[in-house]
Amino acid sequence: MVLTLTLCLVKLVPHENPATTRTGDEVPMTDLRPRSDSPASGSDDRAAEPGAAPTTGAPRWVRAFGIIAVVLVVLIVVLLLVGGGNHGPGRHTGSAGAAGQALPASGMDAPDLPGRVQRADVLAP
Amino acid sequence: MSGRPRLRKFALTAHVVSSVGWLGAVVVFLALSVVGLTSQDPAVVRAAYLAMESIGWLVLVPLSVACLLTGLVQSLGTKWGLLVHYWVLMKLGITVVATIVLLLYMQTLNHLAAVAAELPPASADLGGLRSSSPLLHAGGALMLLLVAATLSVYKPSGMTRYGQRKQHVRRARSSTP
Repeated sequence: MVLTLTLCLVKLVPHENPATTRTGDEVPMTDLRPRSDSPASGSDDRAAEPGAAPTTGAPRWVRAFGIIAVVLVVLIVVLLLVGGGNHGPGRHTGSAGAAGQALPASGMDAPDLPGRVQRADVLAP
Repeated sequence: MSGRPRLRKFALTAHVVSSVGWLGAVVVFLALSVVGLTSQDPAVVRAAYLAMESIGWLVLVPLSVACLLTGLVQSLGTKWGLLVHYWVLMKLGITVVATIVLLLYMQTLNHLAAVAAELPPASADLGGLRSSSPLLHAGGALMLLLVAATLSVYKPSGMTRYGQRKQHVRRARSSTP
């Protein structure tokens, strides 16, 4: 009777048992080996189909990240458009614009700030 | 490279150091941007913008490029692959976007530092120097790098279609005598 009752409980609530709810997602952090993420890993009959490569779509967390990324990009674009498209060094000229001389167009050249030792000075004999 | 544990560990160490260093530098940059935005002392504000520009060129840009390169080496030199797992692909995207935005944003930092350098030392009028732009960019960068660090630790499951096809081909090859 007790065994029957226990069996019924297990059947009724199958996911209460931690041993049965462990999925492939719950890999210890110390396990750094690549996991077999293919959906066909548990169904060899599908993988054995000649010429067919069973693929599935992106997991839920990837889709969630994608949605968040799209929302953020749209938000940034809207903010830039609302701001009149004035984004970049030019927007900081303000009243201190007199000091804002022409800057290197590439953005890769460090400016010649006062007090900075120039490379040419260092390399000069 | 998978057959050389020492080289593999060196590459992994380089990637961890560069990415964690980048994250830390962004936190420092964020603190300086707060100082530049809120300090009442004009000299401190000017110093903050000059320091931000220096940190940008001397720390952030080298670390971002190092992080990108070591990440490419890590993914291509191990079984993880570059385009096989979604979390690796996402980290690559985050790193590429953050590096490009940083390189573009250096123009703004150059400009702010030039303005700060040319203001008279005794001037209390900071004009257009105070800007929330470094704070916003550093906050965005910090968010992106935290996501990347989290992905590195948790390595959520999920293979790209390319990865699934690759695995299928590998299994087919191994099953055939």
